[in-house]
Amino acid sequence: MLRNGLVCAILLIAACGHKTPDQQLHEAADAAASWSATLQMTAETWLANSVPRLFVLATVDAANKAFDQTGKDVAQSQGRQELRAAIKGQLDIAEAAAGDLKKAIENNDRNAVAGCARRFAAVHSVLQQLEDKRK
Amino acid sequence: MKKAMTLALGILTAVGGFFDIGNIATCVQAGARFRYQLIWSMVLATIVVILLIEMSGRFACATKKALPDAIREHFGFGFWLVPFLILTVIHILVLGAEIGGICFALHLLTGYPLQVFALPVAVLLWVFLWRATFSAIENSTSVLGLITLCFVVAAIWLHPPTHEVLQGALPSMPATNPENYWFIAVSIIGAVIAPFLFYFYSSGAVEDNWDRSYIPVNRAVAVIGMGFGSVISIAAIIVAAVVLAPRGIRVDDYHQAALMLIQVFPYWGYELFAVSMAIACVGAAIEVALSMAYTFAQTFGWNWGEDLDPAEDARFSLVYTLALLGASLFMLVGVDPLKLTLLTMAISAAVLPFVAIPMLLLMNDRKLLRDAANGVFSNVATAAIVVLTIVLAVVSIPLMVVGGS
Amino acid sequence: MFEELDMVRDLLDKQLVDADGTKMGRIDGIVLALDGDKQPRIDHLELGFAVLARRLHPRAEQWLLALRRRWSVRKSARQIVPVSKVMDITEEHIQLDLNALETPAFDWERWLRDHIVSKIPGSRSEQ
Repeated sequence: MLRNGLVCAILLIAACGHKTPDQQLHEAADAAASWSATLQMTAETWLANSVPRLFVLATVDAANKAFDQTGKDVAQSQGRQELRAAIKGQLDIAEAAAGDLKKAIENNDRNAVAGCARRFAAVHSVLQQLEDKRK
Repeated sequence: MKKAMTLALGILTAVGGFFDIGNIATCVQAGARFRYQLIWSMVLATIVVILLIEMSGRFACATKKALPDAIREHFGFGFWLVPFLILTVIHILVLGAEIGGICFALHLLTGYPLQVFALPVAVLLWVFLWRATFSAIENSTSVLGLITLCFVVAAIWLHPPTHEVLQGALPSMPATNPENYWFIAVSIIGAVIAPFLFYFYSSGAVEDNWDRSYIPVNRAVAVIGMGFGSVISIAAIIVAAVVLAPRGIRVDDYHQAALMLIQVFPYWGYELFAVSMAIACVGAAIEVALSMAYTFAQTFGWNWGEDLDPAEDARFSLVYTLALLGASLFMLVGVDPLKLTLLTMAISAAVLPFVAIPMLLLMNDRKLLRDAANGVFSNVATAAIVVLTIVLAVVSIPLMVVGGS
Repeated sequence: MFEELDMVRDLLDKQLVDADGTKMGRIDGIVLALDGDKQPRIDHLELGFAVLARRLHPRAEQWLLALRRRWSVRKSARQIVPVSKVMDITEEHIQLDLNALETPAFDWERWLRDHIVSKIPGSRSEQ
C-alpha cells in the first residue's frame, strides 16, 4: 500500500509540475528579462562609480551563462513560433550588448557603457511587453 | 549586572545566528519576486523559532544538559540514530552554503573567483575554533554582526508603502507563479528554523553555565534576539522589494543581490553588502561547525567544550575540523552557492519533525524539569509546531521539484 | 544511590564520568548475569561502537568488527566496566572509580592527542 501511495504521489507531482510549452517559454523570457535588467543596472552603477570593474565583468559572465541556457531552452521548446522568434531576437541583442559591455569596461569607455545600458533597457522593455501580453 | 551583560551578548549572538546565508538568499529572492507578499512566512517562522529557542534554553538552564545530550540519554541510541545521521548531513550542507556565502563575499570584494577562497576560508574558520574560547567567539561575531543593521537603515530610508508591508504580514495568494511562491515560503521557514540553532544555543547555555536563575534572561534573549534577527531579515525582503522587484531582477544568482544596497548607499552600498554577507556567514559557519561537534560529542559521551584546549577534547575538535574540510569541498568543486543554499533550506524544512518532536517530549518530562516543564500554553504551541513541521516535511521536497528555480 | 533503579531509564545511554569528573563515554550496553532461579543481576557495563552496532542489528556489529580489525587503535572492540567500579549515580551522570585516560574509552582520544593534536600549535594554552 505504501508503494502504491508513493507512485501516486510521484505521478501527482509530475502532473502538477508539468507546464505547457508556452508557459516554459515565458519563464525563459522572464529569466532573460531579469538578466537584461541586471546588466542595465550594473552598467549604470559602474558609471556612478558604485561598483568595481571586476564586478561588472563577473556579472556579464554570469549573465552570458544564463542567456546561453535560455537560448537552448527556446531552441528546444515546442511553443508558438512567433514567441520563440521574438525571445530569440531579444536574446541575440542582449548577448551582443553583453559582449560590447565587456569591451567597453575594459577600455574604460563610459559612452559605450551608457549605450549598452540603453540597449539592455530596450531588451528588457520588449520582453516585459511579451510577459504582459500573457496576462 | 552580570546578567545584564549576558542578556546583551545573548541577544547579539542570537541576531548573528539568525541572519545567515539561508536568510539572505531566501529573503532577497522573496522580495525580488513577490515584493512584500512573503513577509508572513518570516513572521510565522520567527514566532516558531522564538518558542523553540526559549525551550532549548530553558531545558539547558533547568537540567544543565544540552539537547543532543538529553535526547540520546532519554530516548536511547536507536531512536536518535536516524535523526542524528540526517542532521549530520544537513549540518554539512548548511556549512557548505555558509562557506559559499563567505567565498562569494570575498569574490565581490577582491574580484577573484570564489573557488579560490574555499580552502583558505575553511582554514581561517578552523584556526578561530582551534584557538578561541566560547565567549571570545560569542563576543566577536555578535559585535561585528551589527553591520547587518545596514539593511534596516536601507529599508527605512526607502520608505516602502506601509499598508503593503503590513498586508504582507498576513498570508495571501500570489498573482503569478504559485509553485515558486510556496517554495520560497517553505524555504524561508527552513532557513529560520535551522536545527543547528537549537543544538548550538543549548550547548552554549551549558558552556556559559546557565542555571535556573537564567530562565528569565533566556526568555528575553529568545524574544529580543530572534526578534531583532527577524527585523533584519524583513528589512532585506523590503529592500529587495523596492530596489530589485520593480526592475524585474529575479535574483537567480548572488551577483544580482549584490546591487541591492547601492540605491541607498551610493558610495559604500556594494562593499556594505559584501561585508555584511561575509560577517553574517562567518558567524553562522562557526555556529554550525560547533553545533555539529557538540552533537557528535554529546551523542557518544565524549569530552566537549570550546573552552577546553583541543588537547583535552581531541575527538570534539576532530569533528569540526573534518566538518570544515568536507563542507569546503562544495565550493572547491564549483557547486553554485545560491543553488546549494536553496536546496539545503528545502531539505532542512523537510527534517524539522525530527527536531520538534523530541523537544515536545523532553519539555514535558516533569521528573526532569520540575517547575520548568512546559505549561499548557507551551504544550499547545509545541503541538501546533509539530503539526506545522509535519506539513512542511510533506510538501517541501515536492515543492522544490515543482517550484524551485 | 537510588533505592529503585530503572535500568533503561537511569543507566542505559547515561553519561559516564571518571573519578575526576572527566566525561568518558556513555553506557552503551548492560550485561546481565542469569543464574538459574536466582534473580538476574547486572554483571557488567559495556562501552563501544561495537555495542551500539549490535543494538541496531547483529550484521552491523560484524561489519564494524571487520573494519576494526583493519584500522582500530583500540585493543578490543568493547570496554567492559564491572559494576564494582560504579562510585556514584546521580541524575546527571554515573561516576566510575577509574581514570579516564587509562581506560580503553579514551584510546582514540589519546591516539588523536598524541599523534595529531599535539603536533598542531595552539592545542594547549600556555600554563
